[in-house]
Amino acid sequence: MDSYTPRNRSVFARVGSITLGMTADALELALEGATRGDEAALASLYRALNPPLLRYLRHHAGPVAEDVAADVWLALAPQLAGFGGSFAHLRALMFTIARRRVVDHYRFQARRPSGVPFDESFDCAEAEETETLVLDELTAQGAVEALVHCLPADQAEIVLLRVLGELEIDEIASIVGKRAGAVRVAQHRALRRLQRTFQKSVTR
Amino acid sequence: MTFGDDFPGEMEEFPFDDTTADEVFGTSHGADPAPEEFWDIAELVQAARRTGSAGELVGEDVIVARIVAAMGEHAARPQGGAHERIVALNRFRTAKVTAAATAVLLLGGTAAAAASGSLPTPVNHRHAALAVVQTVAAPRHHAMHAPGASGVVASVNGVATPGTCGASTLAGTFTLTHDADVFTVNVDATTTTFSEMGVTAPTFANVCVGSKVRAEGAVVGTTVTATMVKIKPLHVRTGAMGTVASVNGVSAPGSCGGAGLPGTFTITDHDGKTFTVNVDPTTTFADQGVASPTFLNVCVGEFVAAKGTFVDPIVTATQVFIAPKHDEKKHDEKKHGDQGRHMGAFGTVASVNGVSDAGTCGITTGAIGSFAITGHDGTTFTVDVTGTTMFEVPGVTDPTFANVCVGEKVGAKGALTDTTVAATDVFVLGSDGGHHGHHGHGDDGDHHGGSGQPAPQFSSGHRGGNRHGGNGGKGNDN
Repeated sequence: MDSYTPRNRSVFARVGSITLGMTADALELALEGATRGDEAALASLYRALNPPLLRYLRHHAGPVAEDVAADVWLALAPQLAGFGGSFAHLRALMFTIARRRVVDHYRFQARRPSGVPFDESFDCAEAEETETLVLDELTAQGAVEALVHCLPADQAEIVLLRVLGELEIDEIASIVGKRAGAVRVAQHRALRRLQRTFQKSVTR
Repeated sequence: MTFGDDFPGEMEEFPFDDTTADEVFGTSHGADPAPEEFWDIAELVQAARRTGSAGELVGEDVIVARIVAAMGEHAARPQGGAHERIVALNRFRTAKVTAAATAVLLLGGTAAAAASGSLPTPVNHRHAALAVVQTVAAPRHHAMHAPGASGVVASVNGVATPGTCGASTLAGTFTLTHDADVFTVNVDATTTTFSEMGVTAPTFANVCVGSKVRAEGAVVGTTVTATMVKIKPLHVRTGAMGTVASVNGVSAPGSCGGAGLPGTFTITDHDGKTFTVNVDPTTTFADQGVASPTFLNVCVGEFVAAKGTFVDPIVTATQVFIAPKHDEKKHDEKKHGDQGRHMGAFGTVASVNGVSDAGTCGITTGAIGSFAITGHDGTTFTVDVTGTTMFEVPGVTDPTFANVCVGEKVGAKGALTDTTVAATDVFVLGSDGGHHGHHGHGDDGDHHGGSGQPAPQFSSGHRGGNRHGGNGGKGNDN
């Protein structure tokens, strides 16, 4: 089996990302500090977790992703004090909250009467801005969208949680309310579809 | 998967196992390298997991401070501090999200459980809902009515000239307009805090005529004495992204740009809006896996992002990014060679034997003929049927070509040549088949209209629905 070697030929490869290079141990230490209210440690966690969170939410919530992300952090904050789990547990908890916020978002979108102007329009990011933002963030967000844009919604969600939440099958099953087997099947279908989608570029 | 195998035993059909999935999707910790055929996917996964960019960390200091404060308040007042805590937290929450949360809370406690991530199981939802309603609902509702005003700055210190801004060290006044309302906002260099995303230390000088701002503070009549002024960054749109609809005026699937430049193509974004992208010899192209991509690599049906100068709806592109293709046909040709291809088309029957009148159906005997179907993207396919073509219709014992009628949703399986299907099987899903038209492989039961959208349900219970893009149903999940 050939090893995976990142190749510098991706359309998504762009400079400008902040390289934090936090190891797993460093993240655990940051979590330990954060649970005590250490602001610097919390900032490290934020830098590690907010980008994938934002990418997940941008896919679902688009123009209000930043707002929902802040909402997720604020919902997480009370539970962070004295948090006893690992960094992976915290990440899973964060995506659990995020997933539920997304469900709320979709529910609200479905129930919100169309054509009624939002009286706080100032606070609503415009679609164009988000699109521009996506263009500017093509490095990561473009990759996210490229991964899931051709997938059915259920498969896309599982891929997003696998890729961005770095969650295991059982964790995803718990979050999305399905059996692990169903998640596994959906994941395989997604992978097969992705394999088909990207086959062409592999064989060029 | 093939048309009929999305039931027991389907796992055996996958050409890879859990280990492969873990190698591709799994975390970087301890994962084995992905097999070569998954390199591109793994590459995208790694790209998606890139460390944060500056744009993704904007406001870090503020929100981290708020989280710390919230943690402290939570620890100090685990029972009684909720109201104050939420009031503080709501400083981050825009009115839109707050409205969403409040609406959800008003509409039912179930959704309210989502406000807490600590109780993920359905068993605990009831408790979560109770707790959240008690601690979150009222403050969120109050936050919707936080005093202040938002709108576009009409004048600064009495001057309405576009571009006029305040002075950083002085008190002053500006007016806001929002629909027909006009508010006067008083600011003070010492008591008013200014906030603008991406600006380190904004001041009144950042408030200019034409700016979009929100002023928070005591409101008396139409006058706001601002303690906080949030300035919305001015974004300059630089491009568009979407699916290529035509290239140099040609919209036939697979049509690509030419070697000569300048040229033009159109893209349709996720909202259905069409943009024109102009390219010239200075435009650079990026296409995954292509060493020196050119306009030739821009083809109808591909997903691209064009960046450059944007004057709605035209992008004069300096850069064009071409996303990996979703090219099932070519892949299938490669995968299966010249034999055994399971391809076909899905869509709505537009005409039968050349007749497009509503209700026109095929003939029962001597069932050689053809019908046209229109896919979800507007592509028209011709489906040729013969005496050996098998028909399947829910509830019909011996279906024939006569069961194929104009207006019905059908799936046709067979060799696909350009846009013509030599049908071996035709599945009639009815006029409300509940799936989106789709062309390409006939081997998936899980296609759909795109991610992030509610999956349409195929309600007939007929297996053909799930097998042919009905998406929804148990066929996807189990």
